[in-house]
Amino acid sequence: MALETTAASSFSQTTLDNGLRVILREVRERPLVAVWMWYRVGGRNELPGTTGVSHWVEHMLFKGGKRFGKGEITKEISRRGGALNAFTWIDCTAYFQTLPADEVDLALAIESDRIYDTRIEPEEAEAERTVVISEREGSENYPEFWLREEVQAVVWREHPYRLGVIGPKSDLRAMTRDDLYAHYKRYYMTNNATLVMAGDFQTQALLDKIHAEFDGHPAGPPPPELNIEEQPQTGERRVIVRRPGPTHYVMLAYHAPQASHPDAAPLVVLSSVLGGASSPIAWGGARGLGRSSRLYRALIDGEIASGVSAGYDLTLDPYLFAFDATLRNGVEPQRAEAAILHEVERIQREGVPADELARTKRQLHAQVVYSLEGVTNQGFALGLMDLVARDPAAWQTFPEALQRVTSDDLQRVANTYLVEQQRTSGWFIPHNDGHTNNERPNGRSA
Amino acid sequence: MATLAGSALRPERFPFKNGLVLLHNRAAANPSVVVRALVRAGASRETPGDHGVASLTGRMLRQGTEHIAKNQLAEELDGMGAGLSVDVGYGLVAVSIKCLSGDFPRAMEILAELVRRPTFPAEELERLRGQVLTDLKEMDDNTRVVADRTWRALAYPSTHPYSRLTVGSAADVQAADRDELSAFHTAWYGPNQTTLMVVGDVIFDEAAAATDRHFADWAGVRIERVASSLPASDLPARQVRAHDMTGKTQGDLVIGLPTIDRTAPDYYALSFANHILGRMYFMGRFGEKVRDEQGLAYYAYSELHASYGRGPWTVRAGVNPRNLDRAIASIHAELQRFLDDGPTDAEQADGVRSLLGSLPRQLETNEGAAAVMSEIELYDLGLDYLERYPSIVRSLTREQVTEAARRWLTPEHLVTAVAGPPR
Repeated sequence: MALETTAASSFSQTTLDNGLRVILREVRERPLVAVWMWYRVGGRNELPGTTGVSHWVEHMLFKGGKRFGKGEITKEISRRGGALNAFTWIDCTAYFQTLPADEVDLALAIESDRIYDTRIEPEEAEAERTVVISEREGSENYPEFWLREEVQAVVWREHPYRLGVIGPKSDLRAMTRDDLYAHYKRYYMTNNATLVMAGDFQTQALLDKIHAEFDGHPAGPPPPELNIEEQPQTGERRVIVRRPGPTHYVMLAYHAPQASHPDAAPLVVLSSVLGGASSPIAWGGARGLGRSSRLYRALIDGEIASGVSAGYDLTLDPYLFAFDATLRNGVEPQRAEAAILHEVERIQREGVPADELARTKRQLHAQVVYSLEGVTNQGFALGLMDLVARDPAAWQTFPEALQRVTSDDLQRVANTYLVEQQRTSGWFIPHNDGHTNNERPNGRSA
Repeated sequence: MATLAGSALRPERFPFKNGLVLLHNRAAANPSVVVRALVRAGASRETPGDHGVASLTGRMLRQGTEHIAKNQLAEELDGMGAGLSVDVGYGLVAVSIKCLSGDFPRAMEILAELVRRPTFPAEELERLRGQVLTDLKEMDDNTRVVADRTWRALAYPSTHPYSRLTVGSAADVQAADRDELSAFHTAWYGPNQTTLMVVGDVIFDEAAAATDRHFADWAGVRIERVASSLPASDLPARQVRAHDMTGKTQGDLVIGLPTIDRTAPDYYALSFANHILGRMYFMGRFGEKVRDEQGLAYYAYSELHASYGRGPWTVRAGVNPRNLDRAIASIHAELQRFLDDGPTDAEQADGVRSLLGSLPRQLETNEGAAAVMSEIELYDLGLDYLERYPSIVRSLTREQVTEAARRWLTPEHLVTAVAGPPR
């Protein structure tokens, strides 16, 4: 297939005959290359009973295949000074390696081996069961994790987003090696993946190598489409979590549209006006922005909360616009909730003054610039936008769209989405009766 | 470094007459710049009655200065899209602004205002105090923080700053008043305690001119090396301490001991040993054994924080309480195996290759370059450090690495702390 280069020449893309999408961006400043492999499978593709399977499979893809034995993937990358990792999310599972540019052949060989030849040995799957449970238990140590999990479980009645990513312990204990393998076989195939590379290479020469590594892989049967449509919410939902904890936490979650929706850009700007800006298209960015935001002024300066945020993620299906607050000692959750809602209502009523909107757009512009520092982040941004906006060019066009958002847009989306009927309110109430938090006497010697 | 890191790091160093040092590195790959004042005014400067004062002083820098009120600062920084962060460590306070390169002149002006002319408004201190007290309650509930705090209290004598967290206790935070913070600032914030770093898309002449404009007339305070304000630290006895926290499902584990100064002759060999024990491949031998082989933990790794004085070496892992004894035993066994036999030839070769191969990646971002530059400056490593670094690493022998581990990672002094559900 022909190599298609965008007008701005910021990247090239093509699709191999076996359906593997390929996105390449030359960045010649440093002798480095970032290799990202994105699979369109995550929490949204899971069913009760095997929730968490995508994430567990992700762990197994470090355990060896045909060309690389157990532990060899990590060793081969590490000994060359490279870095590698992976993550599983509601919409995808992604693997990345950043390494010296002259080691690119190794990275391609690893991804080519992983896509069809991962073994998932029963004893390795079993050893990893406790690792995955341990990962969940680490999260369980935080009150915010319990609150978010409870809120997500009631925001949706049908959509699998309600199940999250890591999975409940009951599923993690019950799942079998065959469940993992079946999931792997169903979703890991060239026609359900995108290879994104950014770095110090010559595009055509690299494409030849990609053909050599991947052309031999046949396309698989298309993975099942998700045809679940969430019914409209008909009234506010409320959740309370009582557990041992240090203070109150509040989460307000509203249904919000998907990344491909025209309202996505106004919603990103709205979340930034309320809670400060972060880059919507990549990780990273500067810390410590947003202290002039509405919620910082009202809740932090107003001595209601010690931390507050507003967030809207770019996703495949309609997801959330959510507020999170950590309340100061002694502050009741209704007070924080009322303060957040008051700020939302002000925007619904009055919109946002021009100088404040300009300040917010400048923050967004700067955060996008910062978040694109380095080839790893650039590969991430291209891959994420290819996944959720279904167009890698959105790594440039989406930030541009943010700059065109008006006060009227903000007022309109605030009135459309941030309404009581679409809201789930969650409170974490610390319940410390009989709770122990102290050093055990008589430390023993070991 | 030309062959390994390309031209990623070619720092320039310019000392001013008042003792302030400017470190600059140009990188134009991203149209942004990091400006950072590293002030030797961390928790090591505190006296016994004023724990937590360094941290509060640092956090108050952005709460109002002679020429910029707090809210005005917040609006201006947001209007520039600039991020301001203040990190208070044991030796240093890092005040950093990350901005688009066009805003560099104003960022330097703001940075000077923050470190030179904070006013410590009483009402802002009260507001911050309430916030820090909530932060401390959250830290009391955080198993990783409690394990670290418990470990420090056992591993260092109570007179040593490393024996506690820099934030101070709730009682410390309750007791601090604005005059104390102001006096701490007057005593320790000065040009001869400060290294100014400009890293990113700004040329040297512009950086030097802005430094001259905003910092050259800053009058000096006393000069005292951070290391000399640290008391002696004898090695602790081997011991184990558990902190029970109901409502938690995972225990966080810290095992380690005080080791060496960054400038100690054994530093490179010990750092290499740590690389093999707890970093390389899949978080070193600890990660491979405890996570990958035994499935006992989601994370297991080790770190060496050699800075001033006896910096800590620690192994950290998150473990289910019923696996705790096995995890601790495995960590001890892996350490002992290393002390007995040292690295394998393959590990030694891979260690060299991975450390040198990772340099371009470390230097890829302005933040990464700034981290390496601050190390060069703080420990007098010389601007040619990165050119010498490959030969330093290549010259290490298996024997040197093993000997350094035997000298400093002594099992009879290992302190173990666990915070998590009661067993």
